[in-house]
Amino acid sequence: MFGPKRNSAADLCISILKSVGSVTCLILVYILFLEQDDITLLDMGWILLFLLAAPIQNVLTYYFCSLEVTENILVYRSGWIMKSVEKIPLEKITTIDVSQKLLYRIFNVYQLRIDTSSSESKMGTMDVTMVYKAEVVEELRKCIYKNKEETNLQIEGQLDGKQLIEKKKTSNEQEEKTFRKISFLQFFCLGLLENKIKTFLKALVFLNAIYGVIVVVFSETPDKFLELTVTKIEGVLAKNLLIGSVGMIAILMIVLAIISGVATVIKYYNFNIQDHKDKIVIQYGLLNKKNYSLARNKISGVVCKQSLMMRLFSYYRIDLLMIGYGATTEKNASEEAVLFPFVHEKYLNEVLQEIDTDFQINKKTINPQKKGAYLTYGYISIVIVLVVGLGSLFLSIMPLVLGGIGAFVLPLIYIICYQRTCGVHMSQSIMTLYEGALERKIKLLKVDHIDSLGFVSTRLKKRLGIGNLVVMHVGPMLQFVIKIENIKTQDYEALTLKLKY
Amino acid sequence: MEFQKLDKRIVSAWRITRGILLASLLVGFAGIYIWIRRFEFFHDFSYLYYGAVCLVLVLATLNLLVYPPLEYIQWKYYIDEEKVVIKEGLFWLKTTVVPVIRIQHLSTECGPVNRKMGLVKLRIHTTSVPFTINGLTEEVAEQIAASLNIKLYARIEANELEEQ
Repeated sequence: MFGPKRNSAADLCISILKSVGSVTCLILVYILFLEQDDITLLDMGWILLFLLAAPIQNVLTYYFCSLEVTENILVYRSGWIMKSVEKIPLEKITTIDVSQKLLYRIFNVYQLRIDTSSSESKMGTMDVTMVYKAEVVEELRKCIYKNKEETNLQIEGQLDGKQLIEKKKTSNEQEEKTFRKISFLQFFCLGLLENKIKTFLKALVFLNAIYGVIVVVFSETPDKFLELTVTKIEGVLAKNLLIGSVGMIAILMIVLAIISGVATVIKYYNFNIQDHKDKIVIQYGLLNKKNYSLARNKISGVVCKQSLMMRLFSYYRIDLLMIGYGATTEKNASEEAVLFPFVHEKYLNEVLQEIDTDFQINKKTINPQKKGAYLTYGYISIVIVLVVGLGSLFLSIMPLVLGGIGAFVLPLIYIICYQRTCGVHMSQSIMTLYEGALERKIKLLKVDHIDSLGFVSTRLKKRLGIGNLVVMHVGPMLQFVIKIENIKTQDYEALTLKLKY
Repeated sequence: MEFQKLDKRIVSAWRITRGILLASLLVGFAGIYIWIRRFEFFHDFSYLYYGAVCLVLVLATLNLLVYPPLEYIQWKYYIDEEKVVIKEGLFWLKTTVVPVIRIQHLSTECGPVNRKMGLVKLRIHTTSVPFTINGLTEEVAEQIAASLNIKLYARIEANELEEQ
């Protein structure tokens, strides 16, 4: 039994601070854009109303929001105008996520998020988010899992006292079995090997902003500063254009790789996976502490990812596919569902089987794509090459000629890599999908979590006996769709026969 | 596998719906033309407007006159004890297999045009997305819904027995 319990008072303080802060910012902008004389008594009244309304709204939200756990139901009450009471059966809870952002660390409170696989809400999952102190979070988590276990035992049948004690003993023995550890150095390597394109773009934006600040600081001579910078860069490039530009990019990439390495160590600091009887507990983070409890039977699949660099060194990152873990709404689409961030290829199957004995990757089982599939990609490149090539020849512009060659060569490399990587295989319980050109993804889906199989083909593809496979799967946002291009028609038919009916 | 075809009246229903769409497009374009011709810049770029209107009208006319019978030819469905198979598409031909055991619930819908033609749309809801079989007569839709319900319960019972 737990509660009914409201959020921690610290959460109320934080939300009041946040809303008062944002209202004050708006008011400051409003005042700065107006002359002092223009502020009337009426304006002051509005400002006062806004300043008061935000905290009042926060207090009311705090007062009417509570969480309670009864025998086998979790009751979440919220809303003060539109009151709502949500009752969630405990066995429907998929994840319990505990995190601590920087602001929460000051008040020593934790944010608790409970996800269910309900299709009631628009985004597919029903989210319950509360803020509590550490001991309350632990009490609640224990309460939920204790009640869940009791419900499961009741379902399993009537067990006598001895059996119950034995069962509890074995479950305690199984508790806190830690998965293989990942060292600091490995995390640093992960940071170095992860995809840098996003970081590269972010760095460019950041450098641009820094440059803007520097120009403002040296505002007395902004033109001179600009001139000096441009002259220096021009000086480097003038000596040797190719070596200069490649060198600058290389320096930037090295700096980014080191920053990324350090950031990864901070992100995954003290990474720890505990293998409990029917759940997996994942903890990590230095600044933003994360703690997830994942129900083992709700895992619907895993994704083994490789960036280009990770592929060169045969390393993988394993993510989970399960409702309520990772990006559950479009808002937090960047949230990762990481299970094991860095694992070498030779230990991959070992780690996968610790999650579920059915999970296994065997690359020999990939059904290769038909060679004719090249034709279906080719026509777009041919059109681009013809347009750009003819245009460049007509205009005799060198960059366009180079662009034309690039437009032909790059898609060709992509197509060849994609053709070599992609494929599908289905065993009795697991469907394995291989996809990606330079960056590889291997998805293992539990067959009994697959909702439907689709096969899309154009007339040309139909003639060639190929088509795109569309797998509708129960995933993080309920609607989880995987598309694999150019699968043989007979392979698709074989898959439909193996689907669980 | 013997696929079932949709009711032939669906072609007329599609044409009526798309005819209404075309008429509303014409009204919309006329309204925009009356409003925008007052501005001077419009006369310099009027060819862009006429070009866009022509393109949209050609596509909408094709959608009204040519596509419905072709779509009807492609549309097929098959239901047995284990699965529902839907084949559809115009340029991209799509085949979808939905296991009966994965069905969450069934619903029927009909808009004003379909109602007038005596047709309904059957929606098969799974955990992820709903699948639609359009252009069924009310009796056929009810029969399918009833038989799918029976099959679903039979499958659930069979699975439970297997698990035990």
